[in-house]
Amino acid sequence: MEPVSAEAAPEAAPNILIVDDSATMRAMIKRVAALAGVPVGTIFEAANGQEALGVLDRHPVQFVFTDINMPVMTGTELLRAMQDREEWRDVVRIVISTDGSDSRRMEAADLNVRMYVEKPFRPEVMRDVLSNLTPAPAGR
Amino acid sequence: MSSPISLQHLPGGDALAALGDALVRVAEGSLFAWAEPCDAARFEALLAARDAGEPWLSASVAFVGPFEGIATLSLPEALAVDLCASFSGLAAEDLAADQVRDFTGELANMACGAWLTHSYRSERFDLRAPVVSTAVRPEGATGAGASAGMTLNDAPIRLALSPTDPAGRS
Repeated sequence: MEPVSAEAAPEAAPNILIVDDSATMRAMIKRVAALAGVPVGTIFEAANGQEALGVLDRHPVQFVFTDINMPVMTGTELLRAMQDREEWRDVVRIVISTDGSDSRRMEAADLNVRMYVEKPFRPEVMRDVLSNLTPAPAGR
Repeated sequence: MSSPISLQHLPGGDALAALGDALVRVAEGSLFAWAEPCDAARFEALLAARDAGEPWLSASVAFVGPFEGIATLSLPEALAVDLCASFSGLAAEDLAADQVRDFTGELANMACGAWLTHSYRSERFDLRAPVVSTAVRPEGATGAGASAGMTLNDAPIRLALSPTDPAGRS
Protein backbone atom coordinates (compact mmCIF):
# COMPACT_ATOMS: atom_id res chain seq x y z
CA MET A 1 0.00 0.00 0.00
CA GLU A 2 1.38 3.37 -0.97
CA PRO A 3 1.72 5.77 1.96
CA VAL A 4 -0.64 8.70 1.89
CA SER A 5 0.86 12.13 2.12
CA ALA A 6 -1.05 14.97 3.71
CA GLU A 7 -1.00 18.58 2.68
CA ALA A 8 2.15 20.69 2.98
CA ALA A 9 2.77 21.38 6.64
CA PRO A 10 4.59 24.03 8.65
CA GLU A 11 8.30 23.56 8.96
CA ALA A 12 9.40 21.39 11.88
CA ALA A 13 5.94 19.94 12.39
CA PRO A 14 6.39 16.23 13.15
CA ASN A 15 5.64 13.61 10.53
CA ILE A 16 3.34 10.84 11.71
CA LEU A 17 3.08 7.20 10.65
CA ILE A 18 -0.20 5.43 11.42
CA VAL A 19 0.01 1.62 11.37
CA ASP A 20 -3.26 -0.32 11.52
CA ASP A 21 -4.72 -3.07 9.36
CA SER A 22 -8.08 -1.30 9.41
CA ALA A 23 -8.26 1.46 6.81
CA THR A 24 -11.23 2.91 8.67
CA MET A 25 -9.26 3.16 11.89
CA ARG A 26 -6.31 4.75 10.08
CA ALA A 27 -8.65 7.31 8.53
CA MET A 28 -10.20 8.05 11.91
CA ILE A 29 -6.82 8.55 13.60
CA LYS A 30 -5.64 10.69 10.70
CA ARG A 31 -8.73 12.86 10.87
CA VAL A 32 -8.42 13.34 14.61
CA ALA A 33 -4.72 14.18 14.26
CA ALA A 34 -5.51 16.78 11.64
CA LEU A 35 -8.19 18.34 13.85
CA ALA A 36 -6.17 18.21 17.06
CA GLY A 37 -5.01 21.79 16.83
CA VAL A 38 -1.32 20.88 17.01
CA PRO A 39 1.23 21.23 14.20
CA VAL A 40 1.40 18.04 12.18
CA GLY A 41 3.58 17.40 9.14
CA THR A 42 3.05 14.63 6.65
CA ILE A 43 0.84 11.75 7.74
CA PHE A 44 1.86 8.36 6.35
CA GLU A 45 -0.13 5.14 6.57
CA ALA A 46 0.79 1.46 6.67
CA ALA A 47 -1.42 -1.61 6.99
CA ASN A 48 1.08 -3.70 8.96
CA GLY A 49 4.53 -3.63 10.50
CA GLN A 50 6.30 -4.64 7.31
CA GLU A 51 4.81 -1.77 5.36
CA ALA A 52 5.66 0.54 8.25
CA LEU A 53 9.34 -0.43 8.10
CA GLY A 54 9.32 0.48 4.42
CA VAL A 55 7.90 3.92 5.19
CA LEU A 56 10.45 4.47 7.95
CA ASP A 57 13.24 3.54 5.54
CA ARG A 58 12.10 6.05 2.94
CA HIS A 59 10.79 8.99 4.98
CA PRO A 60 11.69 10.94 8.10
CA VAL A 61 9.07 10.13 10.75
CA GLN A 62 8.92 11.50 14.27
CA PHE A 63 5.82 9.71 15.61
CA VAL A 64 4.59 6.14 15.07
CA PHE A 65 1.07 5.20 16.14
CA THR A 66 0.76 1.45 15.86
CA ASP A 67 -1.84 -1.22 16.46
CA ILE A 68 -0.66 -4.52 17.95
CA ASN A 69 -2.66 -7.31 16.33
CA MET A 70 -2.05 -7.11 12.58
CA PRO A 71 -1.45 -9.69 9.85
CA VAL A 72 1.96 -10.06 8.14
CA MET A 73 3.90 -8.25 10.87
CA THR A 74 2.45 -7.32 14.26
CA GLY A 75 2.97 -4.08 16.07
CA THR A 76 5.17 -5.83 18.62
CA GLU A 77 7.38 -7.16 15.83
CA LEU A 78 7.55 -3.67 14.34
CA LEU A 79 8.59 -2.17 17.66
CA ARG A 80 11.28 -4.83 18.07
CA ALA A 81 12.61 -4.09 14.60
CA MET A 82 12.70 -0.39 15.40
CA GLN A 83 14.79 -1.14 18.50
CA ASP A 84 17.47 -2.60 16.24
CA ARG A 85 17.94 0.56 14.19
CA GLU A 86 19.96 3.35 15.71
CA GLU A 87 18.49 5.98 13.39
CA TRP A 88 14.99 5.25 14.69
CA ARG A 89 15.95 5.45 18.35
CA ASP A 90 14.29 8.85 18.86
CA VAL A 91 11.06 8.09 17.01
CA VAL A 92 8.20 8.44 19.49
CA ARG A 93 6.20 5.22 19.71
CA ILE A 94 2.52 5.19 20.66
CA VAL A 95 0.45 2.00 20.76
CA ILE A 96 -3.25 2.16 19.90
CA SER A 97 -4.79 -1.24 20.48
CA THR A 98 -7.86 -3.07 21.69
CA ASP A 99 -5.47 -5.17 23.76
CA GLY A 100 -4.80 -3.36 27.01
CA SER A 101 -3.65 -6.36 29.03
CA ASP A 102 -1.02 -5.87 31.70
CA SER A 103 1.49 -8.12 29.96
CA ARG A 104 1.09 -6.30 26.66
CA ARG A 105 1.56 -2.93 28.36
CA MET A 106 4.72 -4.12 30.11
CA GLU A 107 6.06 -5.50 26.86
CA ALA A 108 5.37 -2.17 25.17
CA ALA A 109 7.17 -0.28 27.92
CA ASP A 110 10.21 -2.49 27.36
CA LEU A 111 10.09 -1.56 23.69
CA ASN A 112 10.37 2.16 24.36
CA VAL A 113 6.66 2.94 23.90
CA ARG A 114 5.82 6.36 25.29
CA MET A 115 2.03 6.06 25.48
CA TYR A 116 -0.49 3.24 25.30
CA VAL A 117 -4.00 4.09 24.13
CA GLU A 118 -6.76 1.50 24.38
CA LYS A 119 -9.44 1.25 21.71
CA PRO A 120 -12.12 2.40 21.83
CA PHE A 121 -10.95 5.90 22.53
CA ARG A 122 -12.62 9.26 22.32
CA PRO A 123 -11.17 11.71 19.77
CA GLU A 124 -10.07 14.05 22.55
CA VAL A 125 -7.74 11.35 23.86
CA MET A 126 -5.78 11.48 20.61
CA ARG A 127 -5.74 15.27 20.76
CA ASP A 128 -4.31 15.10 24.29
CA VAL A 129 -1.66 12.58 23.21
CA LEU A 130 -0.51 14.82 20.39
CA SER A 131 -0.63 17.94 22.54
CA ASN A 132 1.54 16.32 25.18
CA LEU A 133 4.10 15.03 22.70
CA THR A 134 4.43 17.81 20.16
CA PRO A 135 6.21 21.11 20.69
CA ALA A 136 3.95 24.09 21.19
CA PRO A 137 3.73 26.37 18.13
CA ALA A 138 5.41 29.75 18.44
CA GLY A 139 3.29 32.19 20.41
CA ARG A 140 1.13 29.52 22.03
CA MET B 1 -1.52 -24.09 23.98
CA SER B 2 -5.00 -23.20 25.07
CA SER B 3 -6.70 -25.11 27.79
CA PRO B 4 -10.13 -26.56 27.14
CA ILE B 5 -12.18 -24.05 29.15
CA SER B 6 -15.80 -23.86 28.15
CA LEU B 7 -16.89 -20.40 27.08
CA GLN B 8 -19.99 -20.84 29.21
CA HIS B 9 -17.92 -21.52 32.34
CA LEU B 10 -15.22 -18.91 32.19
CA PRO B 11 -13.87 -17.23 35.30
CA GLY B 12 -15.57 -13.87 35.77
CA GLY B 13 -19.12 -14.88 34.94
CA ASP B 14 -21.25 -14.75 31.82
CA ALA B 15 -18.89 -14.20 28.91
CA LEU B 16 -21.62 -13.28 26.48
CA ALA B 17 -23.04 -10.63 28.82
CA ALA B 18 -19.54 -9.24 29.34
CA LEU B 19 -19.01 -9.09 25.58
CA GLY B 20 -22.30 -7.20 25.32
CA ASP B 21 -21.14 -4.76 28.00
CA ALA B 22 -17.96 -4.21 25.99
CA LEU B 23 -19.99 -3.43 22.88
CA VAL B 24 -21.98 -0.88 24.88
CA ARG B 25 -18.72 0.84 25.87
CA VAL B 26 -17.46 0.80 22.29
CA ALA B 27 -20.74 2.22 20.99
CA GLU B 28 -20.78 5.02 23.52
CA GLY B 29 -17.05 5.72 23.43
CA SER B 30 -16.30 5.69 19.73
CA LEU B 31 -19.54 5.81 17.82
CA PHE B 32 -21.70 8.19 19.84
CA ALA B 33 -24.28 5.43 19.62
CA TRP B 34 -26.51 3.72 22.13
CA ALA B 35 -26.42 -0.02 22.66
CA GLU B 36 -28.26 -2.14 25.20
CA PRO B 37 -29.23 -5.75 25.77
CA CYS B 38 -32.74 -6.76 24.81
CA ASP B 39 -34.84 -9.81 25.51
CA ALA B 40 -35.89 -12.31 22.86
CA ALA B 41 -39.39 -10.88 22.47
CA ARG B 42 -38.14 -7.37 21.74
CA PHE B 43 -35.48 -8.72 19.43
CA GLU B 44 -38.08 -10.64 17.45
CA ALA B 45 -40.31 -7.56 17.31
CA LEU B 46 -37.48 -5.40 16.01
CA LEU B 47 -36.65 -8.02 13.40
CA ALA B 48 -40.27 -8.26 12.33
CA ALA B 49 -40.45 -4.50 11.83
CA ARG B 50 -37.62 -4.58 9.28
CA ASP B 51 -37.47 -5.73 5.70
CA ALA B 52 -36.96 -9.49 5.86
CA GLY B 53 -34.75 -9.38 2.78
CA GLU B 54 -32.39 -6.61 3.88
CA PRO B 55 -28.71 -7.57 3.82
CA TRP B 56 -26.85 -8.16 7.06
CA LEU B 57 -23.13 -8.22 7.73
CA SER B 58 -21.40 -10.62 10.04
CA ALA B 59 -17.92 -9.98 11.49
CA SER B 60 -16.05 -12.73 13.35
CA VAL B 61 -12.92 -12.29 15.44
CA ALA B 62 -10.99 -15.33 16.62
CA PHE B 63 -9.08 -14.97 19.88
CA VAL B 64 -6.38 -17.21 21.27
CA GLY B 65 -5.00 -17.20 24.80
CA PRO B 66 -5.73 -18.97 28.09
CA PHE B 67 -8.95 -19.94 26.34
CA GLU B 68 -9.98 -19.43 22.76
CA GLY B 69 -13.05 -18.89 20.67
CA ILE B 70 -14.73 -16.72 18.10
CA ALA B 71 -16.77 -13.59 18.80
CA THR B 72 -19.25 -12.72 16.07
CA LEU B 73 -21.21 -9.53 15.58
CA SER B 74 -24.12 -9.52 13.12
CA LEU B 75 -25.97 -6.37 12.16
CA PRO B 76 -28.07 -4.94 9.34
CA GLU B 77 -25.87 -3.48 6.61
CA ALA B 78 -27.84 -0.22 6.74
CA LEU B 79 -26.92 0.16 10.41
CA ALA B 80 -23.28 -0.59 9.62
CA VAL B 81 -23.32 2.19 7.03
CA ASP B 82 -24.73 4.69 9.55
CA LEU B 83 -22.23 3.71 12.22
CA CYS B 84 -19.33 3.81 9.77
CA ALA B 85 -20.33 7.33 8.75
CA SER B 86 -20.42 8.39 12.39
CA PHE B 87 -17.04 6.81 13.07
CA SER B 88 -15.26 8.05 9.98
CA GLY B 89 -16.82 11.48 9.66
CA LEU B 90 -17.76 10.75 6.06
CA ALA B 91 -21.21 11.05 4.54
CA ALA B 92 -23.03 7.72 4.37
CA GLU B 93 -23.59 8.07 0.62
CA ASP B 94 -19.84 8.49 0.08
CA LEU B 95 -18.89 5.22 1.76
CA ALA B 96 -17.75 2.31 -0.38
CA ALA B 97 -18.83 -1.22 0.47
CA ASP B 98 -15.24 -2.12 1.38
CA GLN B 99 -15.10 0.72 3.90
CA VAL B 100 -18.29 -0.46 5.57
CA ARG B 101 -17.02 -4.04 5.79
CA ASP B 102 -13.67 -2.87 7.14
CA PHE B 103 -15.44 -0.80 9.77
CA THR B 104 -17.71 -3.69 10.73
CA GLY B 105 -14.66 -5.87 11.28
CA GLU B 106 -13.01 -3.17 13.37
CA LEU B 107 -16.18 -2.79 15.43
CA ALA B 108 -16.16 -6.51 16.24
CA ASN B 109 -12.42 -6.31 16.94
CA MET B 110 -12.87 -3.43 19.38
CA ALA B 111 -15.75 -5.16 21.18
CA CYS B 112 -13.82 -8.42 21.49
CA GLY B 113 -10.64 -6.68 22.62
CA ALA B 114 -12.49 -4.49 25.11
CA TRP B 115 -14.21 -7.54 26.58
CA LEU B 116 -11.03 -9.54 27.00
CA THR B 117 -9.06 -6.60 28.39
CA HIS B 118 -11.79 -5.63 30.84
CA SER B 119 -12.56 -9.15 32.03
CA TYR B 120 -9.11 -10.73 31.93
CA ARG B 121 -6.62 -7.86 32.15
CA SER B 122 -3.92 -10.04 33.64
CA GLU B 123 -4.21 -12.58 30.81
CA ARG B 124 -2.79 -12.29 27.34
CA PHE B 125 -4.74 -12.93 24.15
CA ASP B 126 -3.98 -12.63 20.46
CA LEU B 127 -6.81 -11.49 18.21
CA ARG B 128 -6.90 -12.62 14.61
CA ALA B 129 -7.89 -10.33 11.76
CA PRO B 130 -11.69 -9.99 11.54
CA VAL B 131 -13.51 -11.98 8.88
CA VAL B 132 -16.49 -10.08 7.47
CA SER B 133 -19.15 -11.64 5.30
CA THR B 134 -22.60 -10.94 3.99
CA ALA B 135 -25.15 -12.74 6.10
CA VAL B 136 -28.81 -13.50 6.24
CA ARG B 137 -30.49 -11.99 9.22
CA PRO B 138 -30.40 -14.21 12.30
CA GLU B 139 -33.39 -16.12 13.50
CA GLY B 140 -32.12 -16.65 17.04
CA ALA B 141 -29.47 -18.56 18.96
CA THR B 142 -27.87 -21.18 16.76
CA GLY B 143 -24.68 -23.18 16.51
CA ALA B 144 -22.34 -24.63 19.09
CA GLY B 145 -21.86 -21.44 21.09
CA ALA B 146 -24.16 -18.90 22.68
CA SER B 147 -25.79 -15.85 21.19
CA ALA B 148 -27.78 -12.89 22.41
CA GLY B 149 -29.79 -10.12 20.85
CA MET B 150 -29.04 -6.48 21.53
CA THR B 151 -30.10 -3.16 20.14
CA LEU B 152 -27.79 -0.56 18.69
CA ASN B 153 -29.43 2.75 17.90
CA ASP B 154 -32.73 0.87 18.23
CA ALA B 155 -31.81 -1.63 15.50
CA PRO B 156 -31.45 -5.33 16.26
CA ILE B 157 -27.96 -6.80 16.32
CA ARG B 158 -26.70 -10.16 17.48
CA LEU B 159 -23.60 -11.14 19.41
CA ALA B 160 -22.36 -14.71 19.51
CA LEU B 161 -19.53 -16.60 21.16
CA SER B 162 -18.52 -19.98 19.90
CA PRO B 163 -15.64 -22.38 20.41
CA THR B 164 -12.92 -22.22 17.79
CA ASP B 165 -13.89 -25.67 16.72
CA PRO B 166 -17.36 -25.24 15.16
CA ALA B 167 -18.32 -28.70 16.43
CA GLY B 168 -17.63 -27.58 19.97
CA ARG B 169 -14.83 -30.06 20.60
CA SER B 170 -11.95 -28.82 22.71
